[in-house]
Amino acid sequence: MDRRELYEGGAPLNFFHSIQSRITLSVLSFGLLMILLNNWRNQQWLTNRRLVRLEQEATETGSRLAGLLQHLSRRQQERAAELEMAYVSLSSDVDLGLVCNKEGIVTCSTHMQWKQMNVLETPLAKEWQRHAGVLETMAPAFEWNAEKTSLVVMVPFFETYESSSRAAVLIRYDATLALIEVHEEAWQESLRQAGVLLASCLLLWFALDELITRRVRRVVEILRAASSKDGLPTTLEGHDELSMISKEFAGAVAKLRTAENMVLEAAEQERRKIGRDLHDDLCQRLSAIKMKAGVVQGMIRDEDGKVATLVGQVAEELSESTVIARSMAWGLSPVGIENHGLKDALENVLQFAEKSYMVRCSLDYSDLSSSLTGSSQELLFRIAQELVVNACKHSRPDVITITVRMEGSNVVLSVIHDGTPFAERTTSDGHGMGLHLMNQRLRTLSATLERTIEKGDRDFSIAIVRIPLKTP
Amino acid sequence: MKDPKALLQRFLPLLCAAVLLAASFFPYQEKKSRLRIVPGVWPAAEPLLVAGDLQVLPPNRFQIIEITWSSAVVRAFGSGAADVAVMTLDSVLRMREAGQKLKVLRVLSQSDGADALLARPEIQRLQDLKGKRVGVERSAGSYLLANALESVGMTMTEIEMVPMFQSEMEPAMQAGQVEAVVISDPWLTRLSQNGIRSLYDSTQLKVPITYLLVASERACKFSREDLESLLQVQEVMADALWAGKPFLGLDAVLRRENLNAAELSACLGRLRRLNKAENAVKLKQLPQLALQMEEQMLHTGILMSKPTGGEWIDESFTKEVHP
Repeated sequence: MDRRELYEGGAPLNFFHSIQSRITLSVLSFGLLMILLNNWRNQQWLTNRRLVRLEQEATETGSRLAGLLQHLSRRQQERAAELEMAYVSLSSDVDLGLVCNKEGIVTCSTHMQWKQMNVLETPLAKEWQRHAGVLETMAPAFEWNAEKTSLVVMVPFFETYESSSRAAVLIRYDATLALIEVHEEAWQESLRQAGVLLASCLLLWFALDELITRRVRRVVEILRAASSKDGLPTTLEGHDELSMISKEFAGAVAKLRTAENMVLEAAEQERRKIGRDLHDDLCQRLSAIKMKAGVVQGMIRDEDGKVATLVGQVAEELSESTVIARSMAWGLSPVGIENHGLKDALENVLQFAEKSYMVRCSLDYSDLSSSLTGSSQELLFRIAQELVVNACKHSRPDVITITVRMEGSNVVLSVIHDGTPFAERTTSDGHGMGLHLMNQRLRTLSATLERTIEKGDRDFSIAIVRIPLKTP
Repeated sequence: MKDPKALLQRFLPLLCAAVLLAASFFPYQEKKSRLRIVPGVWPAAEPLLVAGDLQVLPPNRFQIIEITWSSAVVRAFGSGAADVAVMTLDSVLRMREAGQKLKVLRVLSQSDGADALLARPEIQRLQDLKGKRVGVERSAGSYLLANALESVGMTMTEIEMVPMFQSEMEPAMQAGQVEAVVISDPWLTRLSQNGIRSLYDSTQLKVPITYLLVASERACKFSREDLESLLQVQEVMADALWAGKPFLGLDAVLRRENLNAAELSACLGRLRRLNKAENAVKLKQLPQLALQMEEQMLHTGILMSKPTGGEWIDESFTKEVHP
């Protein structure tokens, strides 16, 4: 996934700024927090459960063993008592255990070497001393150490039928390993949960990438294309929100283009009207005044030479004013005035270039009056004018040629010159307005502009404008 | 998107997620717990018991459970309550007959008179046992008794066999509840001092009684490292015990076996300890010995059918362990 394709104000999009990353990382962080909380809760719960079970086991085992030993010792079945003690020590939680009488002599234990030893010589001496009162009260004792890692249970019984023949079972349970096991179990479960969470986040990442990021990238491409390319923007397939946005955007662009064309057309119409008014009214009046001034000059020539000269000057100035007014009228509406058409307009542009920039110009023109509407011819003329003037200004050519011809279903305008190639740029600060307007006109005509350079003895820069006739 | 690299990059999260999910739902490796050892309380098992007393085998990795009755040892191992046990070859055959999965890791020692058929003074010969009550524990005892009777052309049906635990035999003999017993050390040593006559002992057996260290297949699979440590420690402790000199832990041994130093020495003298090289040779001979013992046990009715199952000897431990 090339995230560099997504831009944020022209700079590559930071990983942590993307919605895809933020959502995924948020879910991952929240999930991990929940797993840690659950781990803590789980450890508490498992530990408590394990300790309760251990307590139950200790109580049950102690009571059972005491009862059994009372029975066996009354029948002098010491060997069976040993076996019972051995079976008790099979429990993984039992640390040490012994059976001791009131005199402190061990009669049976988990370690055979303590047999017949004094209980105070065994590792359970402290526990025995602490709970010695059990032999007086004959009530079982049950005690955890402060860390709750060791549990001692001491259950009294009578060895014989005499009430003085007291003995007790003392068993010490070690919960350390059980608690470590609980701890490990909880962490293993958390690890499993973290694995599932990570996998879910990867799936979420994939889903977001497929459903949002890639489609957003496509929308960005469409937006970029809308600002730089011709024609209407494409829309995103599907029926989701992004698809709706792209469709709405395409509709808005279409409306904007229509409005733009209408503005352009209105401007051209206004320009044509002013040109026509200048030509049909002011120019005619000026011509009439000029003629009348000529007549007045003839009438007064013999009477007073000075007045005749003055009137002649008025006539000349009127003549120049007429030329200027005609020129203005042509400039405002170059095509269609006096029925000269596109060809004359283009020739005029070339004459202007010859005169102003000392460039040798030629025109190769095929009649297109039936193929293009008047307004399209005018737009084509404006494009040609921009291309020629730009070439003269920036490339300093010796030769410029304009060709207009039909190629299939396209009208093709070519402007060829031998000047130095230059890069045309439009900027947001208003420079390059001519180029901007040219692009607008190209869009209105649904036309394309292609620039090439033909290498040879002299390099020729060629600008080719193709106007499809089928497109309205 | 036809670019394979781009395609891989696109579907990499999906791939990783699948792997992670599979790994997350993969069953846990069975948790390694403490190795539970039931050596029994007899001289052959003392190296392990001493190692437990001295905590040479760390209590957080090894749990040594003292069970005085050899039949209880077999039961604890058979039920899975213990992972490692010390037992005789005939017990191994019986467990294999019952379909128990186990591995013999080491031959610890060989009974060289440590098991015997003892009788009250009035019984002079094996033939005199006819119709008499003979106490025997369901272990190597019945194998020795069957061989003893067979050596004089008798069968088990000609005597009255009284099943009992070895720890009960001494008081039973003294009380006259049985006329003879099949017993092994340390009870053999204690009983011999009371004028009891030995009619037959393990030196006369064609296939000797062999003490083996056996482990469950689960332990071999999951606790290999602990088993190796156990074998190392066993070797070191056996050296100390058979050296015949006082050592740390000797007092505990004497108290446990209820013997004095001279008696213990005599007991150990009746057990032929095998060093590493002998052990390796013996392990190789074990299938053949087992076959011979199996035939005898089938013949005397101690075994009802031939043991089945796969490999039951694991020599790799002996090869890998260096004390």
